[in-house]
Amino acid sequence: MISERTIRNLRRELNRSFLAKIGIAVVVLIVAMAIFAPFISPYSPGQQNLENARQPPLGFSTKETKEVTKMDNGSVVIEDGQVVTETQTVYTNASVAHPLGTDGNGRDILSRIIYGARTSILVGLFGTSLAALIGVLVGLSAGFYRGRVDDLLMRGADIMLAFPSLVLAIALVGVWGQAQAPIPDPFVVSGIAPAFRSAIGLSTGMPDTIVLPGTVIVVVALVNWVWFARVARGEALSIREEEYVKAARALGASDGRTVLRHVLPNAITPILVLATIQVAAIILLESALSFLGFSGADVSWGFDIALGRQYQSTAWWISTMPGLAIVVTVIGLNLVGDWLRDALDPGIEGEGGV
Amino acid sequence: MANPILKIRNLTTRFFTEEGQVNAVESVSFDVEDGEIFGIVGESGSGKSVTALSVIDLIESPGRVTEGEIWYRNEALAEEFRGSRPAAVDGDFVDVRQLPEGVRRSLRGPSFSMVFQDPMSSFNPSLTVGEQIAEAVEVQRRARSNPRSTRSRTQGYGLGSLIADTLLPSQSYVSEESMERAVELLDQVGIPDPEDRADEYPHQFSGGMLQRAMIAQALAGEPDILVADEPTTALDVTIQAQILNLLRDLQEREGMSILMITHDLGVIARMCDRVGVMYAGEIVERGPLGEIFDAPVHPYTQGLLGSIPDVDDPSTRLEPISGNVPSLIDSEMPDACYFADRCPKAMNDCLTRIPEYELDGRHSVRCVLAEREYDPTEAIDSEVLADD
Amino acid sequence: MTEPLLEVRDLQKYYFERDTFIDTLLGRERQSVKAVDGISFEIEPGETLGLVGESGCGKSTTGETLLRLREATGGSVRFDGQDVFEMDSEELKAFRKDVQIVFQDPFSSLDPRMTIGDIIVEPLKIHDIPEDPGDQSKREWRRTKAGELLKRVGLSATQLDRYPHEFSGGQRQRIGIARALALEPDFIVLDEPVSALDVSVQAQVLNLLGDLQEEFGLTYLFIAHDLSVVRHICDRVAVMYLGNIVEFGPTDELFESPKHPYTKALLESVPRPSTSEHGRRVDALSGDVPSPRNPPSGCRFRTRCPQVIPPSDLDIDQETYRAVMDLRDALVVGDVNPDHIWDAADPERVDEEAFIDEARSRHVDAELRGEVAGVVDTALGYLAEGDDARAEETLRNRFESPCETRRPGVGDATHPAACHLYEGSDEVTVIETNASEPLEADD
Repeated sequence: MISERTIRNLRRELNRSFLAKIGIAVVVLIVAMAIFAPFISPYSPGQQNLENARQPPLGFSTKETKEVTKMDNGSVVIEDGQVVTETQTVYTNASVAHPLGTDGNGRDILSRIIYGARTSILVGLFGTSLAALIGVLVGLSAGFYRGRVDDLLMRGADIMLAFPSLVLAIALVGVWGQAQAPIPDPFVVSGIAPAFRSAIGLSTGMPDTIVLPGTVIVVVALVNWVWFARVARGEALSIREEEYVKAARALGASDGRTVLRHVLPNAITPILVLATIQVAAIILLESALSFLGFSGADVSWGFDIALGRQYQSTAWWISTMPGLAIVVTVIGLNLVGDWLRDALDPGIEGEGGV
Repeated sequence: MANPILKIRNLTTRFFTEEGQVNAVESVSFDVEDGEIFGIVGESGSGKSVTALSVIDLIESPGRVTEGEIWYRNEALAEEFRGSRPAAVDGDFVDVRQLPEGVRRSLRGPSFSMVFQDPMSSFNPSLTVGEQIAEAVEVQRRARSNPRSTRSRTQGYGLGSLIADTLLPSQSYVSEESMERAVELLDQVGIPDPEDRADEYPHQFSGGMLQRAMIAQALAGEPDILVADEPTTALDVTIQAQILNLLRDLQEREGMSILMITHDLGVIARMCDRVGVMYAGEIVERGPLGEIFDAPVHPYTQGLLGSIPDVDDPSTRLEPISGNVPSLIDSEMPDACYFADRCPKAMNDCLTRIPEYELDGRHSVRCVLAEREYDPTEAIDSEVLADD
Repeated sequence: MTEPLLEVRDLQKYYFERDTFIDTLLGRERQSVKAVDGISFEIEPGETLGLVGESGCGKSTTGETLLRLREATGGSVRFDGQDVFEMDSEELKAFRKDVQIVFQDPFSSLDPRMTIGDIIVEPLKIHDIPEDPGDQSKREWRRTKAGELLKRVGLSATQLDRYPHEFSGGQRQRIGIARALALEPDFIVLDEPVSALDVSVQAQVLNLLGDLQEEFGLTYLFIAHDLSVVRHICDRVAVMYLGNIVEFGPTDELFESPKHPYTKALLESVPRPSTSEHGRRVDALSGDVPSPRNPPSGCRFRTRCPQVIPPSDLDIDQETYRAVMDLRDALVVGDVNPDHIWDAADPERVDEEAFIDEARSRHVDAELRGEVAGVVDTALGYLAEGDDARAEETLRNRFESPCETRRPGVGDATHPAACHLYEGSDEVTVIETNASEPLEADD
């Protein structure tokens, strides 16, 4: 399905565009992070160390003044029957052990970002696939059959679109609850990751399941399928008028065959570009749901931002680091989307020679 | 004796694309005489439209006219540049390609104008037809009202006036007079009720009406030479007949010359006095209509005429030219006659580039058969050439 | 006479505009576009029937409707004695094995994402052919077959794995023909198969189509706008105008002695590639083809016809009559603007004489005399007073032509023409006799 011409266009556009290279690098990095989390994460994302709470990231230190009980040779100093306090300045320094610092419970932020990437990527991929599946099915049917079918399906889509997506998502989560499916992490269960970690001297005890936030995936798909439906419908409307579609029908091909064999493959390019952008949009939506506490995920960028909110004035990095992760991922995905769009411009595809 | 208004010499236009250099027009020469209709006929990809665009100086990147001269007869211009650019002046003629950019631009309208194939895409859908014609009139009017100096000729249509027009909306660019002239032009090209039609938008016109409107627009500058690029190809045959009648009437009334580009030999036969036949970027045969149609020398011209079904006589089997339209990419073009791989009379002599032979003063052909008879013993296997 | 292979009776295809859900909600009346308006013809086995006409006349719609690629609004099509419109999905599939179509645009008729091999094999897959491939696998059998077909249309079997964009227009059209031949059909609809091709390549494809017809005993419906091509390849020709067949007959007879004024005008307009053509001035038909949304009453061609029949009690020459009819049509479609006439004649709007003179010079392209002049002036007088309807009525009362009250249809003769000039013979039948239906009336 991917012709040589397509590959040539992709490569040419990649050579031309610096931003596309950055986008691909970022996306590859994030995806690799998510897949190999049990190998590269310095700690388990849930591992607490209250002693080291709120340690700043590398390159920063914090100064905190606090009232402490004055001590003298190990005993509390009491004057006038009162415990005497004194002001003490506490310096918290960054440590290489926690390059991005620790959160309020002393959990390593880098580890949480690495594991958080899994949630984001899972929701992004499954959510987009589901949205694309629903949207493309609806859109192709509407565009191919037109008339009443089109009216019915696309009016429905318009109504969906009229709701603010976050409100709709919250409502759906509210109705369905927060179903989650734990999937065993193959690297941990098979023992490869623990063996690797102890070999290079990292702490073991990584979580042995990946939590798949089922409801969230369904909800983001239900909120975002409309975009796919619109694009697919537009493509189907124009492709159905192409003579090769008519030719297929004249040969006696069934509607299903015509749509799957002729309409879908020729509509795939804009759908693919949209999907890339939609992964970013869905990651954002998942973060928003997690931030608001609706997703039920406990390792998620959005959730971590919410956790850091109470320390905003003293430990800014707890919220900022996962926030940056979201920003970088979304920008990366959008750059990849732009690259695909520029390279796969349907105007170029299928043109003859000079 | 014939009096040329335009003499094209060795015009060469190339496109520099990612797939390689495309030799769209290769050393094309022809004259257009006063008040005649000169036709260029060729199949798609023969370079006929690029020739038209090259003449009127509308080739855009990645294309470029790389060589050649376009001698245009204009005494005033010749006088103006005789001192400053002697190389660009020859008698009453000036070589348009050697003139400064501003002057070249000012020639579009009063000297050359163009009618395109697709009237629908040649009009801006968001302006009325009248406005668009009036705009063309306005450009010419402002150019004329200023004294003849290179710079002032394009004044009033530059960036400054554009900004002024945008900032001062009351100051409409199109004046009352131009609008009246536009209506007059619409009337001239046979549009009924032109006052009302001028206020309509392009989509309210039929294809034939719009083609008339485009002709009206081209006439705004009262051009010496009208370049018509496939003016009737998008139209039905009964509408085509109307447009061809109109073009002939206008040509006779205004005394202008027409350079007519088409793929339709029938249109050529009805309209043109002299013809050039193009193949793979070259004019392979050129001469008066009668000689080209009744005594063609080049096997391509013969093949083209033999491929057309005759509406009056169905009896003969068609004699198509075998093979396909050639590639114009420089690296894929043979160092031989470009037609040799499809030619039924290709000989060993055809394996070099062929010059243009003059048969007599008015008929020239780019084929060795102009000089010698076809000899089957020297025939080459065209299959071999085709595989190159 | 042999049994016809295809029999089309009163085929109708209307499109409806303003037909969406919202339009229904808003109570808008739907508008019909009469793309094909009741045409009938038969095709004998082994012959080539040409369907010729200008763009928008409904010829392509006819082709697609009779294959049920579009659902007809009325009429019937019988193929091999079987009613095509009554077929269930099983029968339809079998029908589509026997009947094929080749399209005009060689660029859009091949799926750009499939190889040539896949494209030609697809019909075989759909119909699960072969049932028994012998000692080969079905895949191999089909590939071999595709290679043979490709060779038959003049390409090489080594090109099976290439993509359509690697081929020129003519080669693509050959591939489209090979695909149509894969199922060994009896009947092929050729929908402008050569109009997108250059003349030298067009001739190759025409010769190929002729050879294939002879070899496989094919029957063609050849749809085209190019009369020279039709003359060359067709046995019989039907000329269409605005959804109607206006003339029908054996090719030579129709081309050598055309009857219908439209056919005559079409033939007259074709530019001939010969020196005798030089400077020939064609009496071009005036005006444009009317919109099928709002076709003229009676004879569809009467608004452009150079031979409209005047009322029998009126002494008028054709030129004058045409001019008066044009004025009427202009009034009806609103092409006459009294304001402009007043502005030019008398801005004070009092001098009705001047108005009438100006209007005549603008909109009446002939010298008017006697009774005709009187009636026209009266009508223009009403126009001056702003009473368009009355002006129109005045003209209609005196100048109404039989061409606009009754619609002619082709009769049963071998060379019929749907024109009132041939009334009284079996060349023409009158389809409807609704009295003086006004022009804008629709349904």
